[in-house]
Amino acid sequence: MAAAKPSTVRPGRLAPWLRALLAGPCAFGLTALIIAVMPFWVPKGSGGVDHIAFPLFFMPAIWAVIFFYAVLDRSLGRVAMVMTAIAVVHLVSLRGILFG
Amino acid sequence: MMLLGWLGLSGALVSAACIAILATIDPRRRGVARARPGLRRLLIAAIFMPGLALGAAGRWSDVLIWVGAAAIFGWAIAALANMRRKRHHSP
Amino acid sequence: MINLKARETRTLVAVHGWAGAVLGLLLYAVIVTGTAAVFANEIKLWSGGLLGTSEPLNQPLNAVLLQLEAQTPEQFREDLSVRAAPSGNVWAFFHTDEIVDGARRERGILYTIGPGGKILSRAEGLGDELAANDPFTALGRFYVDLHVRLHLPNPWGLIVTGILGLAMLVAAVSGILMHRHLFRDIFVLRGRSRLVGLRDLHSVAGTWTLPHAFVLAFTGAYLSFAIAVGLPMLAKIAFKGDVRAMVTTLNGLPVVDPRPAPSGNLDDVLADARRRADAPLLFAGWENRGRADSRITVFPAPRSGDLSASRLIYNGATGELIRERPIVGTEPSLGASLVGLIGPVHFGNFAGWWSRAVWFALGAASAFVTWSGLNLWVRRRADQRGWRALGRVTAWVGGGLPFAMAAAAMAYFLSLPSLTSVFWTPVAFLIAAALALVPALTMRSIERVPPLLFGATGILLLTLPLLRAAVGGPGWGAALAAGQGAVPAMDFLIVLGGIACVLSAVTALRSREPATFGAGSFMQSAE
Repeated sequence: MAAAKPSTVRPGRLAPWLRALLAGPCAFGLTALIIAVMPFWVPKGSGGVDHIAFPLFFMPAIWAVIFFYAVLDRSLGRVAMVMTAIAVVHLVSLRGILFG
Repeated sequence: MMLLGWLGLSGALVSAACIAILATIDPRRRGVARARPGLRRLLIAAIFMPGLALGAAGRWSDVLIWVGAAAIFGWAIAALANMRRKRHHSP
Repeated sequence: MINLKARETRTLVAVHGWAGAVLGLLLYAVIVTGTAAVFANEIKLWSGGLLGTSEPLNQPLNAVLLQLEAQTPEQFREDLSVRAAPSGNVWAFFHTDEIVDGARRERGILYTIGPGGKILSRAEGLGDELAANDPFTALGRFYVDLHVRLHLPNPWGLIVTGILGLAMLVAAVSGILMHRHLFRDIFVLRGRSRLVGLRDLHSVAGTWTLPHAFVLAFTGAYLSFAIAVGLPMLAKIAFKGDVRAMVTTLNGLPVVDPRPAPSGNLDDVLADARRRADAPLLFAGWENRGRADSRITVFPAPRSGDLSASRLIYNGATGELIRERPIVGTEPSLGASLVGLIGPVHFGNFAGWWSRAVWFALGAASAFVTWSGLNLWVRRRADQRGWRALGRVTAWVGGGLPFAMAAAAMAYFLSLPSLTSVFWTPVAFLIAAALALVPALTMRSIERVPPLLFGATGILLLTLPLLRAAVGGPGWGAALAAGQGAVPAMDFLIVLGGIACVLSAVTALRSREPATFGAGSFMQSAE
């Protein structure tokens, strides 16, 4: 009775591989991007080092959040869009930081 | 210096005693319907008391020793509790 | 109770299972070697046979260092590192920095100073190579290197162990989420004769050790990736490749004053540091000796009850304290506190024997969780040929790794008199691993392979204290007189471990378990 929701149903053999790509190499790449930009917005703190220490310390946690999101969200399209959006924001920020 | 480690271990032993009682009355292990929820909640709270006390006293190294030692004791208690059960029930 | 929908639960079960199936054997190796590495310093002391003192940096050193400086070529006198060696002696390394293949390294003369200022040895070369070629610490270093980088070259070894740390993190988190009644089932063990009983063994052990597994996975991944990937990446991006700028940010701005100045008295500095730290001293680094900008950085152990310690910075010319500072930065901060926690929480070295014993037990438990998970995966697929092969490999690694580690220790002692232990320790490990392959490939009943290998491990362990004594290792009386209680303690613990291995092997080999499960393979839900 209920209409199928195309955005949540991805039959075919490609879907698991796409999800593995997103949860694997893409998650690593996005983590690296986030870590790279963090020193420019995390406050330096009383010791002047929090902007370096926090990205390094939270690196495994950031990766884990991205990984489990990529694995558990039913909609592969939504996962791709969210990860792409975050990556684009960080790439634009990085470009601005590195090249003025 | 003399107390280093002993406080954590003592706390773990207190927690282990509560874990042992909890294991004894555990309904899933005994295969019975859930019983004594009030006592179980009290015991669960008591398990964490030593760690909270050590943390409040600022003895963080003893907190870590307590967490680790209590976990090992708990695992051993779970194994022993089931060994005893098998001996009682085996023909 | 964690209530997830069936689809999410199935996904997590698949993630948990496949992460274990693909990476479980390597993870098991990292965990087992890490468990041994908890006692790395004690192993180095016990196996090295050199009896120093219990606090090597708490003795007069200035006079003997001045004598050694006079014997040292002038180009190496710029910097001096003084370290408390695991043996209880002092390693004094006069050195200078040089660029080798684009990387900054230290070259100089390394002296080993025994009690009473006796010079035990002298060696010249690059500092990291001298450390790697020290025959008296080869056994402990072998276990640590196997754990940290699986003996793969940097940075690949660190990247692999970093990935394994993340895999363990995934397994821990997915294990929590997929098991709906994780804590309600914490006392339920239904007997290993059924598949569901094997699952109970795995999940009960995993539940009890969950906090430790989570923390060690997190800190382990940090330690691997921060060095191999994180810091170089941040240096390139945040500091535009200027490593010096990053070092200045992390360690403070160095004062530059090249005017000549007399050197301070190191004994006074170390005595002051000992009094302030109220803990043994581990290391002192003296830079720019003979200049007005000379600095001595002292690294003490944490105070009793604390998890980490501050570093003490002294003026190397006057001996006055400049400041205390945390592991990173010049002032205490949240970032420094977080980073400072990583080491003690991962290594378990914050409370002497107590914390090491607990960390060792938890490491053994985590190894059991990993191995039981692999066994469960293989047993569920016992009717599939490919997975049966993994079963044999699991049996080989499960029992063969401890056996090979014990064999490496045996070879270490046998080769120590000829000072060839750096070569024979890893070679013996590989030979023993190959020998362990024989029962794994030839025995009909795979289940009997691990107990057989554990039994062999136990026998090797029982011979180690005898071998140690036979090659001239110190007796218990001499060790206790030198304040090195670790020697008799390690002998005792190794014998205890050997007996435990033999007894568990005999018990397992006597019990009659079915060679295969008649239940066939089926995917059970997490419930």
